[in-house]
Amino acid sequence: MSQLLEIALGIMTAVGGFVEVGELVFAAQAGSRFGFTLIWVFVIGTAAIVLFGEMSGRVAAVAKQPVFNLMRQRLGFALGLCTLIASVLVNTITCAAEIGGTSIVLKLLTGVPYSAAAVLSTLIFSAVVWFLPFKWIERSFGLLGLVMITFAVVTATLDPDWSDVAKGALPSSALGIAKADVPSYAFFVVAILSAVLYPYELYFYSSGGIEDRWTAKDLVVNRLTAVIGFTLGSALAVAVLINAAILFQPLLINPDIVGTVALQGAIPFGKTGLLLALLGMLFAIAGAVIETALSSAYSVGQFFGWQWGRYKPPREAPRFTIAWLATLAIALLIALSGVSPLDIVEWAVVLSIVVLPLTYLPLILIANDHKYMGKHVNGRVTNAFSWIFYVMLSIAAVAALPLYFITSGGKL
Amino acid sequence: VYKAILCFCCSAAISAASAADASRLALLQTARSVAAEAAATIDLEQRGQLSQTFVRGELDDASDELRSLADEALKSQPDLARSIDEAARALAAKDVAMLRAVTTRLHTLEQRDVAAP
Repeated sequence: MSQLLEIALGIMTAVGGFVEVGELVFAAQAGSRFGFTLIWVFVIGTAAIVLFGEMSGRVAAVAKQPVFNLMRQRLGFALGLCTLIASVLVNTITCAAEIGGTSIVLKLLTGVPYSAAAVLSTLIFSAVVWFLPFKWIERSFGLLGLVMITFAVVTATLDPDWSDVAKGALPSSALGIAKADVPSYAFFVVAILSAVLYPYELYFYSSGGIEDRWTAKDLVVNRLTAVIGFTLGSALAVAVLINAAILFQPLLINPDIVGTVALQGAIPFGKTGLLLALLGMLFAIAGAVIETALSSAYSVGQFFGWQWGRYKPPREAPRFTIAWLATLAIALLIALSGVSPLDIVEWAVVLSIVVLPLTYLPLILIANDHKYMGKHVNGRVTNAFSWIFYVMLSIAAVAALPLYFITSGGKL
Repeated sequence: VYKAILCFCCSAAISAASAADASRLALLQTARSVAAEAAATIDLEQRGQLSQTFVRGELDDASDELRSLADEALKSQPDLARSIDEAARALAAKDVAMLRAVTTRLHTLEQRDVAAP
């Protein structure tokens, strides 16, 4: 019974904790700009995050190795250090984007000015990470983020043409895109892949497995959490895309402001729908603030072999504690710098995909190493798909920055 | 691989910078979307479907955005600056019909620019 409860809670946490500000913005923009034709990218991205998430959880449970330990072992110190610096940079920018998103939603909920909301929420996040045990942090935000289900209820109420939705889930739907729109469409493909496969998700998931002291007995929990939790979490992002295609596209709206996404709840359900949509977004994005800050600290702590983890009191892991506090502080400064939160989100998404291939390579290598994994090495099918996804991500990484500049961040 | 990425990025950045039409199109698209968002927000507010706090926050942001877009347009696209300014005034007056009219006009300009060789 307790195992079942653990699995159910793990899945619900993964669902509620999956969506963050980059996914919300890009899913809504993708739907309002290209209708259902980008759903297939979520399908492929979700398959990839399920595969790599399960793999990182399995490595954490069996080999007891978090991602950045592997990186130093497999890439060597110099390349590992470059990856570390890039990852911390990307995590910090992502954290700033999430703080910006949280502050906008808080402003729309309470009327508190953006800057005050940013400072106040960062103080609350610091207190939460300082005082709460890891499991509570992980579970509370994940479970509260389930309010995001509001967006799926909106989709059901709108009752889209499901055969059109199904067509959008196939890459062939890209064939109908007008020639002039191809560069922007390609940018959205890359951006959605990046938002679904943010590197911090992997660092947090695998480090969380070690924080929770997973062993080989927890492989079922890991597999079910990754497969069901991530898939349902991604389905919420697809719901946002479908709603945007139905509600925003006819009105010529490309949501440039995070709050606009909440209108999806208000149009069919009025003030109650608006409140639930805003609360769902608030909890989901707030969870991502904490995950990105901790992921930076995990990365640095694991790479340099420091004491790390929230299962230790802050005083027993002082450098780790300083690392996540510093990430939150720098991210807050970026959020307050006057740069538009949407620009920060775009930079987080574009830079993330550049780092992704270096994040996944050591993971695939160690998941195939009998010395670490014993009988739990990757099977043939897992290996085949992991290399296919790896090549796909490498191509997306090379294309990301040029597409960003050519299309002015998907605006052209 | 990274040298190749760097070269590709630089050439893309140069070509993007030299394309003046690109910034006009980006400006048009952003202004059109902000005006459309504002129209939808005011429309929902008038039907009693939104809280006052939300409306104030959304419209303040939209107003700031339109003002900064109008300033940007004034430098090189005076025809756009007039339309964006009109959208800002319609927003201040909460005139949904006017906001929708400006949205449609900006969208028509956008499509004409896209179709132009």
